[in-house]
Amino acid sequence: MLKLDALFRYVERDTLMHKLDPRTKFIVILIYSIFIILSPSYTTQIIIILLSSILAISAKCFRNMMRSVLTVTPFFLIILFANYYFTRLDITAALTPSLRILSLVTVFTLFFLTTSPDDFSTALDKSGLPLTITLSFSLALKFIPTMMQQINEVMEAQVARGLKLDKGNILSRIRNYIPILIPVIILSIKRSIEVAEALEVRGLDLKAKRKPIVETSMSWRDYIYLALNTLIVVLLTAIVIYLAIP
Amino acid sequence: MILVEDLWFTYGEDFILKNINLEIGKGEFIAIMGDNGAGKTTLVKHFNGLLKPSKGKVIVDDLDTSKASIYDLSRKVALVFQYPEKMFFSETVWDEVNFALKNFGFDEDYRIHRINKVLALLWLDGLKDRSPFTLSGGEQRRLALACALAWDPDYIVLDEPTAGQDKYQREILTKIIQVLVEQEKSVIIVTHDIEFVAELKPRVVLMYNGEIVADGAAEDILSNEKLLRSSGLYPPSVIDVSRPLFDKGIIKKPIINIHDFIAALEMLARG
Repeated sequence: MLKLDALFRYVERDTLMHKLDPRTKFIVILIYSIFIILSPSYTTQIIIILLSSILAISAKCFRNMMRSVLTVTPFFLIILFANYYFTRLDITAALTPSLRILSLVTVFTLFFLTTSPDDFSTALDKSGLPLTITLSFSLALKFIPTMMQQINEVMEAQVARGLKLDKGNILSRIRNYIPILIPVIILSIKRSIEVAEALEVRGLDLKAKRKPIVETSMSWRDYIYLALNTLIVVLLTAIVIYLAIP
Repeated sequence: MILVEDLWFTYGEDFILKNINLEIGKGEFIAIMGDNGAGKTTLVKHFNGLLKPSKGKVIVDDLDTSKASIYDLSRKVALVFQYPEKMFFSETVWDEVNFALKNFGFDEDYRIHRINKVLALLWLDGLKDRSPFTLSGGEQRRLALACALAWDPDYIVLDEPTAGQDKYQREILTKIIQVLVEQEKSVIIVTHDIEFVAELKPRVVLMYNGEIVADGAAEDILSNEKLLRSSGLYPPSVIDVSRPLFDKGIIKKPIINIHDFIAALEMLARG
């Protein structure tokens, strides 16, 4: 069985990456994401994957990152082959969209592995966005591990009832997932209602002014990290535009 | 027969199961008991191959679980998880039971025969066309059990079958388990519901912190207060009354459930 529940879960370590302000890390992944989505060059995607791997090693969570990469490898392969096969393009052109998925996953995994959900919600609160948005967003994040665990439980239960996930052609394989999807969706909707009610009975007031428990502040480290990464993205963009590498 | 030999299990760091040795015969009725985190569920997940031993082996009849597929093992061992009603997805009760039968590739005549049989056994015959989601809590729990009994497995593992059930439903469950035991199915219940076990009096395997600390008759283990407390469990409530009577020599052994206690009182009254 896949161990889905350990993916994307915050790993507590005492490294430079962990000490950075969540806002810094978030802005950096935003910059990278925009670049990854727009860049037509697979070489730059590989460079980004390598960069985030190096950062993951420095943050002592490389193995966790590899686990998420392994999980998305099937999707990577499907996108790679689909692009290669259906559009009859050469392999280099098929590599760009498939590596795009992989590089997005590494960048986001790095963020989630090094940022505690609490720090992240504090940072969101401070961003000035309305609480309805920031709260739903940080709750969604906090529930990722629960959700993964839930999927795992449902999978185990249905497999114990004789469900074979890898049986048949592609279409029937997709259909095999219906007995897993339906319970997971129903349970998630039920839970979201429960969570909302629990928040309300504990006196959550969306209009009240809030004060964070944990103070976060940008330090010189954050500005250096931000500047360095912006520089890297600018350089990569320049390379893509002026050198036109594949 | 389910044979567990020197089983150790870990998810990567600490061992969750340590040196488990256990033999469960065909037709045996057994309760695996222990506090939260004792490793009960982890142990039974080895019986149908959902988890594979880190060390040692688990053998079901002639299948080694580390080599056999979950599919083949599930055909023999039905595992009903805690709150199994969460896993429903079909439009009707009939389809829900039919799901596993189709998975295991039975022909249609046999499927119809089995569905009718298990629905009758679990008092659900009138509800065939209802949506599983509209059933009451007790009916849902029975439906989940029907789903697992449908393909006639030799071993039935029930994880916390009484969780969240009222007294009436527990009585029904007791009767169903008794029927299964009479049919010589191996029934394995995983629970920390001591009163339920005291009522049914199966063989009890007591676990604590990933190890088996006791294995024996329900009367012996459930009347051993020291053992139970050191495993994070409380003795059945009847013990509070029967223990002083036993200490004073009025009854011959500590009694663990109310029916036996009443029987003993009647004996005493008759002299």
